[in-house]
Amino acid sequence: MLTRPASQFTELGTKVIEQGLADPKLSEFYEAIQSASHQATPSSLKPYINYLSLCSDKVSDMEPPPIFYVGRESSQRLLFGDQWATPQASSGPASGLRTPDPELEKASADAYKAALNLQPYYGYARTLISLNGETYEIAFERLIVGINPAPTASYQICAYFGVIQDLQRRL
Amino acid sequence: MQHHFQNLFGFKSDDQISFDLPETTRLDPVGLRADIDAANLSEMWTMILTLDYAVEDVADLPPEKQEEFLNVMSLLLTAFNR
Repeated sequence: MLTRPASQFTELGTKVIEQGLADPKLSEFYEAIQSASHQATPSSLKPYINYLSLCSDKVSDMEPPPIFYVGRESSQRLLFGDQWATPQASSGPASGLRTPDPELEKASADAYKAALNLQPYYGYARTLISLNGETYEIAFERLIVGINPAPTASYQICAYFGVIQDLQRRL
Repeated sequence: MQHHFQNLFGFKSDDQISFDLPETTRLDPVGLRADIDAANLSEMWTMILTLDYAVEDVADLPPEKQEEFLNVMSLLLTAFNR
């Protein structure tokens, strides 16, 4: 009998994308940023901005960086909803926008660290998330890249392209 | 202004979830731009404005889009601890 851990976060590496095994739109994004002088640039984001979430470079061992932009078609907006994705400034979270599941946050941090070292991260995850008192099992693939907004910028941003492959409510 | 949402779980906004934004919470574009410049995040203002909203000046956006953009910029400052 097949036994599976409750949560699995695995780096597959970008060679999997090059081999044609990743989501087509995600692969197209990867190809675009790779052809931009082997470094993601703001202009290379343009056709894909609606699918991306953008976050800062303030990563720690326990948390990925806070999010500041959630594209209209991004997987995080589809998952957590418009109200989560667009908090009002006056009532927004003081520590920045984060996904509503602390366990998911903790498990995601390493991928952002890799991306901020200018190594695009591509991986697969299957985990449980808690939302509105319910538990769901979600499977998704994700590509995270670090971007220098300008040659003189003293900071980076991370661009997250996620694709939800499966979503099941746990009974 | 009424906000509505629906996510993959099918949660929809109705009377219980939609809300009104008080007039007093509106962000000042000039002041926020000054804060962004002071935080050395000016590239992000231009990048989001041109890539997503397809305008050069925030004043060219309709009021609802302007408010949405300014909220993103407010989150940007928070995300960089500035």
